[in-house]
Amino acid sequence: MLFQTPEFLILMLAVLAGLTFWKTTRPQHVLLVIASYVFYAWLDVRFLILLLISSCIDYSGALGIYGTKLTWTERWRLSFFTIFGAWFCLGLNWPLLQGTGSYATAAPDSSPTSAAPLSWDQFFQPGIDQFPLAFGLCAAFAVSWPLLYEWYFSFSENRRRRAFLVTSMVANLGMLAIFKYGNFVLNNVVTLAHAFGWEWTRPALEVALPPGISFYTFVTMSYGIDAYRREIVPERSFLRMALFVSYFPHLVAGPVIRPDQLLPTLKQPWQIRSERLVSGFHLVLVGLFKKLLIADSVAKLVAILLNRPDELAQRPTLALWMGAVFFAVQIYCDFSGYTDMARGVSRMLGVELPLNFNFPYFSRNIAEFWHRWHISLSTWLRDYLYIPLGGSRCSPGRVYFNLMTTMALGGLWHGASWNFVIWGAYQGALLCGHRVWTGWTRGTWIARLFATLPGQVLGWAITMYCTLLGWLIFYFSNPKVPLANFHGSDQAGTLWGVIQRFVIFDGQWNISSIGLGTGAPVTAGLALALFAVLHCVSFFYRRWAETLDLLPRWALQIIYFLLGMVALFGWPSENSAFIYFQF
Amino acid sequence: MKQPEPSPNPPPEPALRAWRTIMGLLLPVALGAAAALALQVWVVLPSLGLGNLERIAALGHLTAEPFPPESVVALGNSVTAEGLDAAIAEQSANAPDRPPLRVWNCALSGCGINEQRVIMPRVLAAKPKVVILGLQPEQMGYMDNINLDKCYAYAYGGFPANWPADWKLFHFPELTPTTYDALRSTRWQQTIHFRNQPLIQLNESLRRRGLGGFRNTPANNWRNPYEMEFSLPHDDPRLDQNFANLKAFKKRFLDDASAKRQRSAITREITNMISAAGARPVLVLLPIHPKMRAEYDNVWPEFQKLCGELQLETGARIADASELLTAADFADAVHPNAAGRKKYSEFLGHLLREVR
Repeated sequence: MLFQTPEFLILMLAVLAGLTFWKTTRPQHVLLVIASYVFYAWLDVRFLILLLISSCIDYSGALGIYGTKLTWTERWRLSFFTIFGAWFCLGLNWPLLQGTGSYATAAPDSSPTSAAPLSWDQFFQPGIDQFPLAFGLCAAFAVSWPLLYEWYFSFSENRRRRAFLVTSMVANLGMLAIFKYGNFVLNNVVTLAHAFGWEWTRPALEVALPPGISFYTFVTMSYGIDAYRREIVPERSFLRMALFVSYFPHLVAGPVIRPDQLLPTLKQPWQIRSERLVSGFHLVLVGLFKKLLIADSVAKLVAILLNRPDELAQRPTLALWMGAVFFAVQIYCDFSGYTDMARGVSRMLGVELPLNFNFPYFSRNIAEFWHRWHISLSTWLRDYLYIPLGGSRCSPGRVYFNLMTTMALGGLWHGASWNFVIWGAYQGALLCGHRVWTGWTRGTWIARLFATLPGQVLGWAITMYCTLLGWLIFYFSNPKVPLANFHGSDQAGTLWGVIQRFVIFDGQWNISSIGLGTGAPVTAGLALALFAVLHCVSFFYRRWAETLDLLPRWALQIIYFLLGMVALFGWPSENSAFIYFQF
Repeated sequence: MKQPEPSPNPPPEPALRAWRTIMGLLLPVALGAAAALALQVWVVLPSLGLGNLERIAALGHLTAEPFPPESVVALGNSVTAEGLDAAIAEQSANAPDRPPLRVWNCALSGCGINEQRVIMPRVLAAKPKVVILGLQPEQMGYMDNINLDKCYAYAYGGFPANWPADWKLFHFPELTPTTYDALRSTRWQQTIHFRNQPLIQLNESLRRRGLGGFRNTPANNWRNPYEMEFSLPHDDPRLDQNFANLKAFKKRFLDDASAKRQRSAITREITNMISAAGARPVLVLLPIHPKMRAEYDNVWPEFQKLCGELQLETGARIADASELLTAADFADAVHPNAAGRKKYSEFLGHLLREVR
């Protein structure tokens, strides 16, 4: 479900009604878990089972780590819950109910059967071909997990703790490996086999990517790791744990929530308060503005400039630069717009989610950029990967290795493509370079120069140049755009060709030759200019949502009225998904 | 070990107050949206129309009433729109001893054979005497889904209202359920879909002021809706680019053999529909730029075979104008210029004199 759709408004009103009606935590949590599952199932009901299994494993696993043994009844209850969930998510023909005919929504079935009226017999037939296998795996897990659980408790304490942690990690990373990286790994194995002269045909594994799997997997992993590190007391209530994992504002595209940020709040009754409602609503409005008016408008310009990499060779470098700038704005407004909406919705419900973006495009160096961009992911990577690897308290060579490894894996987190790994490694190299530079120049006149205003502007310009090149690599992280043409000299349509063209400026400043042509929407350019002004005002003065919070009530009513009008005329005819939904 | 402690919660607020706040947030937005919708229904759409798609709606209005007797309706894409001057065609067609023909240039820019099927029942309900279908070898190529905005525009023009009752989604293999639903949409759905018209038309007018050189077939002109009086010089790099783009596009379009049957089936269906409605079908192979003709070599025999079959099956008159024009008669790689228009209109006029 997307925040900007009418069905979400209905869901949100239902949740608010429930939370104001029920004053105790238990019915409130039941309501919120159901709402969260509906929110997720609206995107793709099949993958709800993964969320359920992930919650079950990490709930019982973290308790096992802590030393709390679930009774047999509690364990079998979880198993029943899993088996029922598997039947519900996989055993029913949901696409038939939705009228799409099949799960392949990209190419809807237009055969006569899809126009036929729904019959209940058909609805109770599995919607996926691999139902026996998928259901069998879920049932095998449901049966074996209580037994395995019992066995782990026969170990010594340290061994038991490790066993539960390893099981939790294997389950979470295994799901990521299969559903996100399965095709990628198989394709690379086939390529490698061919390179060695082995003729091997890869098995037909076409697995769709579950929405938000990278986000909720990181959430559940941090839960298990924190329990292992004894930083949290694992949740005894499965309901609270399920809500922590699936809480709908952060479920699909973050922020990547940490146990200590949400679990304490869940122990109290949820209270709907007027000031939070208003303030949250303002955040939602800001998010909608960023997503619908800026990101979706600018996306058209990006598509014109960058969608045909083979044509980029005929265009001047200026086209690539402008494409990179537009994409930088698009991805920022798309992702930070989503985060604003998620934080706003959560604030309306009474829970504060952490800030995920803090004006990243005002960073004066790349390290600052990563303190401002996707903060919840970068702190997650820092706490659960970089520091365990040794962090910065080791030899310089090891620190650079840690940085490169962390960022390359962070790149891979974004998607199953070598280009994402390259993007991550590129960011790691920039951070290493920055670290070397800071070490060299510390206490010298160069450091003092970069502390002055012109120096800061120069630092900002260099950072933006590097960031834009990074966004181009990110944008072309698509299997259709090869890294390089290893068998010929024509590199024009490859990622390497794009990087070369971006770095070596061809001296053509003629804006009419960049290929925007006559199809470029002028209003997108105007939206871009408006965003630039508002963003600067917001950085140097006060955030938009906070400004709205300070306005008198009558002014707000007028603004809401006008926004209602703008919404009708400006709301795009088709809802576009958020870029980070694919990660 | 860090024990998560709940932060202190302030005393609860009465539910009524919270709901008053929620209403205070949503009501002004809803009122604003309602006011905008009212503006859209009573002011924006009546005055601004559908912009580029207004010609579709206008054709819907035109075909709501029967055509005058002896009417000839020319349907097709922008090649017909730019290539047919009704007055010239009438001049060539009319004979002193026969009642004068009236030619209507009802071509819509980008209207392929699948869109012609969408509009045909309504056009035929207006009882034309002759229907001229402008065909290109693209009829033997890949068939795209119809653009969603166009689907709503066809619905806004009332075309699906004249469809036979048995036309369901499966009748249109190229359509998705979304585009089919758009064609079957209600007036409210259309009104809401076209909510972006002020923004789109602002965009269009800004682009026109800033860049110029746009072609937009006038909405209510059924006589001479052409705009291309100019010709790109032979050494103009834009012309080369035009050819290069077009060749790449055609290649993608014509390579898919699986869709050929679908397209030829639609062409056959439309021709039968015209005959069944009592009108005379005339299928014209539209002029093709000499530099583009070679691109169709692989589909040309099949296309001609289809035309021959249609002539036998339906009594349709087939005319080949594909080699009628020289390179000097084209404004760009596709559309005729003033000289080409004169030649093509006269060609159609002579053809009409034969078939009437």
